[in-house]
Amino acid sequence: MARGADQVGLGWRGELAAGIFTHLDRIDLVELIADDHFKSSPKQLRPLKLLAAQVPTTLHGVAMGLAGSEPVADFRLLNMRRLIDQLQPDSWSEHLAFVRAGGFEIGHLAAPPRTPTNVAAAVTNIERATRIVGSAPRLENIATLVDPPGSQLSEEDWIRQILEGADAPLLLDLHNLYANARNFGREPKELLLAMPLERVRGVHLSGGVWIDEPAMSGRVAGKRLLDDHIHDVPDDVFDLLEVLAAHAAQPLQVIIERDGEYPDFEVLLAQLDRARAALAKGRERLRVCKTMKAAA
Amino acid sequence: MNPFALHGFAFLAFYLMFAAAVVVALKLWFVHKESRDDATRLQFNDPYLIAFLRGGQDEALRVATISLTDRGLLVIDGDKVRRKNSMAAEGVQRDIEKAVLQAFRTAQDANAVLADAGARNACRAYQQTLEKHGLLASSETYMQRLGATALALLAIVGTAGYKVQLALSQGRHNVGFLIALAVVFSVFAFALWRFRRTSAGDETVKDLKQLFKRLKDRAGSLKSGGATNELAMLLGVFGLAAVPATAFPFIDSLYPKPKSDGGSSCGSSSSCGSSCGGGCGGGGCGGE
Repeated sequence: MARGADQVGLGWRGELAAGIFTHLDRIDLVELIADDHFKSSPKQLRPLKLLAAQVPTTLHGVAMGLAGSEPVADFRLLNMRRLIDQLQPDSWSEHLAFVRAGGFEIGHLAAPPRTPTNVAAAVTNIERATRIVGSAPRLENIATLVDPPGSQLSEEDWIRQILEGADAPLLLDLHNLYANARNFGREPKELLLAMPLERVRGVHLSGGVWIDEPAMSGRVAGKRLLDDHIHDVPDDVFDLLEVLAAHAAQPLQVIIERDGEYPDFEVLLAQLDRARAALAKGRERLRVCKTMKAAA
Repeated sequence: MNPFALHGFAFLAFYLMFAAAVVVALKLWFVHKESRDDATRLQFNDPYLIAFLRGGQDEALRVATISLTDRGLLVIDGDKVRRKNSMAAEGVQRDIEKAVLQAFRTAQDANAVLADAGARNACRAYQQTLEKHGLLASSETYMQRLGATALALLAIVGTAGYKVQLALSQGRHNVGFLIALAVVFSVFAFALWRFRRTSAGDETVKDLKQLFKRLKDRAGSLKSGGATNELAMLLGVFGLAAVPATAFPFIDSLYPKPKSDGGSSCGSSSSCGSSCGGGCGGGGCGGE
């Protein structure tokens, strides 16, 4: 369910329960990891229903592998549908990644080779997911430490072709985008503006850490930015959110993801406030821009 | 087979199973009638509301006292508690906190707040809100429970009474155990009727405990100071027993845990804190 205004919230983690419950006036929505609850009975889902009655929710899947070359198993899609029927979230999302192939589970969100063949496979998977689940997923760009070998398309073209082919919205993870840009020598803002921003409905913000890159043959070992969700959202990512808000007129649902090394909840609240401030600044830029265009 | 033709231990065994089945059926009937289809829309952003639901008025007041102490608005002075200063109430918003601060305007025993009229009055809104949302039994709920309870009591007492009459008429006077069983199961049935939470309330407490489970797991790492209300929420959902004494040693000086581990000893006493476990039923201690 799309709402009329930007919303800012947090990824639900049990460790943050007290902070989330006591600050519902400052949290517009929470994102639940869907896969954690696929095996839950209706009785086991009752706590989540209680949560969903407190605050709007959105479901986030992590293991469908929609961008894989293999069809997604029916049970995975039916699990999501059942969860959506039970919890009635605002939306659901999944990653543009492959997580298994040839019977092997990678246990990781991996970037597939960005080729027209892969685009076609992903579109088929997403169309089927939309049909079975009952609504289109918001598709999230992933972070990768390795530029997918064999790629023929740029990241932004690959994403655009999939989204257009499947007529699906984008969940734009700004830290993933930032990490990929920094890891592969691109300007983050330029990469952002090359994305299909008109399709963005959701935004993820998180943090990461610079790690040493293993020395490979013929290459000098350097650094890679790892998207680890256990560090604060960097300033540059908030700046990207402002740019996004200045270029995407539609309402955005922004989720801050934190998966560990939890700071005092006040720190997370401050990050929510920063996200709101960035959105507000971007919206103001957008308004001024529109006013100037109208005047011209 | 006519069960009334059974004698001695055989009839006692039959009666035990029969009365137990009646009590279980009564409980299931209440669960059926009082469970919720959808989650309550009530916002659980107030730890004292949760504490009230879980453990009643005394529990809410204890949690408020601890939270205010943690935040430095109440200070422990020897074996007494007192308000830090007259300005303390300006730093709080909730009525219950204002009332607790007022109750401790002079140094008092920590339990004195439980009998303070102002503090008890501040809890009334919680009772009304929880009743309105069907989580606590209201006078209407008790009335609705009455019919089924009366039927259960009739079955429990009537069966025993008929058998006693039959036995006495046949010259057998070994009916003491049967009467005792009838009394015990009647008390069970009465306790079910009297239970302060509805089934929806029970489910909500369980759901909140599930949602806050990971907070409980890291209770030992919570920081004092109350900046994020985590301690109050932890206490509200799980009670005093969930907080390790090493992390918040002042709690034990406010509300010492009972020396013995006997959960059944707390009854409806106001001094048993939240460590009373699952046996406290309809008294002030709640039943989770």
